Amino acid sequence: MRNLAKKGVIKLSIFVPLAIIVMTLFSLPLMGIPPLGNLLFPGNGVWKVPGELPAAERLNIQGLRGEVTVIRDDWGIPHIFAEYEEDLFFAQGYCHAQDRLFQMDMWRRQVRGGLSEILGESMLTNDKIALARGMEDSAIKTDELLREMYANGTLDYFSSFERYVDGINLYIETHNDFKPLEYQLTDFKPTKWTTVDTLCLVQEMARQMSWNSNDLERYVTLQSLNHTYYNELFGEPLPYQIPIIPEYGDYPESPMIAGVDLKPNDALKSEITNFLEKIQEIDSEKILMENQKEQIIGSNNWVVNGTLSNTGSPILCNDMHLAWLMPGVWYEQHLKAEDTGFHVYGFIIPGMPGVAVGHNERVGWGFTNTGYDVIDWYYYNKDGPNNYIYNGISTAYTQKTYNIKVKDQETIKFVVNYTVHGPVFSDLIDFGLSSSLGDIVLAPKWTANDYFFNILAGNGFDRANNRAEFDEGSKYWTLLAQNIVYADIDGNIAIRPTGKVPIRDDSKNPPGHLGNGTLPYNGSNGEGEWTGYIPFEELPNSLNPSQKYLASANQIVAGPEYKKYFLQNEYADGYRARRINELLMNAADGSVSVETMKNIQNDVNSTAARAFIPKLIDVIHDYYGPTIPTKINKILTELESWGYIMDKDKSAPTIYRKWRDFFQDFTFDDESTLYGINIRSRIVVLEYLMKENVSSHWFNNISTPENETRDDIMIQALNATIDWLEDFYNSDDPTTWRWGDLHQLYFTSLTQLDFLSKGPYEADGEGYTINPSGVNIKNGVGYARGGASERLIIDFSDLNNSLSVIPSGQRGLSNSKHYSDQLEQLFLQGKYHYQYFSNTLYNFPTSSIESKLYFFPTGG
Amino acid sequence: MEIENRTFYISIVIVLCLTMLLTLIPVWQLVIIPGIIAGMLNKSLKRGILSGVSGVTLSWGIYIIVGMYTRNVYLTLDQFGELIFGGGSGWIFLILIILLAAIFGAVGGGIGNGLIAVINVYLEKHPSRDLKTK
Repeated sequence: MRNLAKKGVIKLSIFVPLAIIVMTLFSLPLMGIPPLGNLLFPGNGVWKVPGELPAAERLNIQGLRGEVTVIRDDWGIPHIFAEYEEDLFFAQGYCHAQDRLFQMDMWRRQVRGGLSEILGESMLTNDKIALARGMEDSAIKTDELLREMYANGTLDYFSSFERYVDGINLYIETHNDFKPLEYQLTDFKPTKWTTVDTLCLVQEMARQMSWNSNDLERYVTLQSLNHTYYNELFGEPLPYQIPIIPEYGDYPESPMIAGVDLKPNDALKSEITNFLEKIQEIDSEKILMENQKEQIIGSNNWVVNGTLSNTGSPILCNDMHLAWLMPGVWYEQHLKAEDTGFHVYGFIIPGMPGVAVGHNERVGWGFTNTGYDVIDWYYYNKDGPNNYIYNGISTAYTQKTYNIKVKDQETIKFVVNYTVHGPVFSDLIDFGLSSSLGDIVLAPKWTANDYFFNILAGNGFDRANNRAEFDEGSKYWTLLAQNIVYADIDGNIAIRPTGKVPIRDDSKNPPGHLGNGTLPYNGSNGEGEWTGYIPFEELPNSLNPSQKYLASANQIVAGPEYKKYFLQNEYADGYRARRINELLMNAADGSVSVETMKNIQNDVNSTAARAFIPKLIDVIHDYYGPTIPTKINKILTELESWGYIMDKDKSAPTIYRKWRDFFQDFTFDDESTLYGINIRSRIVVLEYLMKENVSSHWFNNISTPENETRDDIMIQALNATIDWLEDFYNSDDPTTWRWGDLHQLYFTSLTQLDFLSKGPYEADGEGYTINPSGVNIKNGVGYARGGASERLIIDFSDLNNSLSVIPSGQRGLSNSKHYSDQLEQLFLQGKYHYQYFSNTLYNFPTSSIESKLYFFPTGG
Repeated sequence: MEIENRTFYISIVIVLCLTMLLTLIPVWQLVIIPGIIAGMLNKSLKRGILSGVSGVTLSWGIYIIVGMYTRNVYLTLDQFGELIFGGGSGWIFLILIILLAAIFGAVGGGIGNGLIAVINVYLEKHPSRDLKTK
């Protein structure tokens, strides 16, 4: 008996500690990864990551008015058919959560300062910057206003908006244990979605497209150079621009406008320089600035009328350029409600209701960024710790306190000071990054800090039957100023660059100040106050122009004859616009088909290369005469036989691009050293100097005793190019220098984890081709991380013939076949998919139905 | 001997079913329970451990096969594996899960067998509380 007990105790004393050890091992987090047991063992973690959707699923929903059917097509795109419109939005919200919940969650956290709560202290600075930017505050106050309008009967759309949010929350509530891999890895659960969260996503888009500190950068440059030199490189307008609105004439080629020098202010310059350096140490700001500098944020849209098209009706195209993410920025869907006839197809940011870009049964539209100047920076003298001088008077900051939750830590209180214009940003570099600025403070005023009604504009677009109704919707398009291209089945084409554009009072500016929000204003002197916004009716726009087409690619909006208001000081170099205009301008009547449009959207003919390379070829011949060195002759052979197509298998694109970089470096490196700032003109200005100002002083290398000419610099750049490429490719045979070896595409996961990202893929194109993919190849292989974030072609002769594609997949679940199917099977090959727009619930092609989800009212 | 064999096989089935049921509860630590029951049902330590190992491993094995076929979990494991071991390493996790199933079954079996020995001695010392005699 005693023996048995003893044996039992021995067994227990062996196996119990063993059990404790093994269980503890798998219950502890490892290298920042949640406990392996929670992640790996059946019934947990990876086993609960949602998979593909079942072929048929039925949900009984309380509060639903009628039935809703969601058909998923071969690409996983939902086609939502509802009896009642409010149910339609409910189902849309559910689908968004089903496919993109983690993405939605991260974006709202990014805007609302919620990243530290899940990722820890490392994200605290990003959260502080996000909160200080005031995006959440604007979303909250706009939400309150919309609710007030809804309550007093002046806005009926809000109920649909709320139903959309209900749909998201139903999914969250019913799938709390079934979360995407990203949630499992970060070990947190999504919280309830709100209408404010949706509005925050609008703010995030505004941040990506319009927030910048260019005024400050321009100030440092202007103060480092003199006014004449500044204007030679950064003067307005940029050369060779083809304005979007054709009715206001064309600019002369010369961009140079002489001016008066701004009074030197070394203290301010040094403090702004310090601020700019420090702000770039913050991840979110650095990425934003890099995206803007590499012109990732851009877009193309164009439309031809029925005379130019081969169908007799307009054809409209749009591809918006944004950072490439996995999952992609856009979500595609088809929405149809029987009760109101609401019927629309297109793209939306998941987390928002309706469709932002697309078409209904009568009208279609697309966006490009205008580059309107919607943010100004002000500097003020400090007056003690709590006051600043505003318009000559000591004024107390207003303050707002935020509570930031931090993972595994106590909640942090964060106080932001506000001037009359906006949050004191120069304070922000205090939090562990660097010391505070000296005697001044800096604050931005940004249109996004006001009320915004884009969600109502989107609703207006979705329901518009004609141009007049569409314009009514456009009036609500307050944030994110966009060139909105339009067409309808009646044959109208139009473009309207619209959004809130401030009007400034420049009467108090000192001599040499460029005005129009181009440079920071002295808030202590009351400079640059906003006196209002340009009235909607006064903004330039075009309807049915005689040229039979309209096109925008982020170039300048209006020509010199538009004199009413100042619009912008940021726009693209214009190479994409040149190429689109060239192709459409030369198209014969009745020749433009959907196929033509596909080719244009995927066009990789570089007008930038065409601008530079012929001149380089001429210079080589002139420089060497008949005795061209063998090495250079080989290069010449490649360049002379090149048609300027940025083909990944060719070597001429490699030579062109590397040479262009060296040409720019060799032109400006010496002055950059002299003035102590990185001077780089836009490429189009370099083109202008090369073509029109051969004797420009910028070409002389001031660090040598010789007086170099343009030709000297071009040849020096060519020799440096040959050396660099021989070294990189380990070959002196230029035919082996494939562009695809240097130029590759990369689609980064939202988590930044490589295994959830896609690429690299060798690819045709460059930053200035219509199909854009800008890379930095200074140190070797360049990875394009942004470009077309969707492609849309709307055929108004037969909307069912319309095409679209996104550079990822419909679902944000990395284990789904729809995570990257469109990217790999369509986008990278320049292909598209049909939209099944005219198909209904009853005649949807069976072979294209992947799954069905039925929503029934409870009891149904 | 025949009775012992039957008990052994029945215990495997019980462990298998119970383990499967426990996957519905997202607390993986409970997986020790089926093993303990296996150990308690079998008189010999060897059989207790073996039935724990077989039941839990079989149960998780079936779960894995079904999961991989119906929800493409292998891809998720592969992606997760890339984070720790590098590309194409989902199989390491599969082996690890099966190995751990065996360990949990064995350890549970050992604990159960020890536990039943102690309980039996206790019950024999306190016959009035021996439920079997009631």
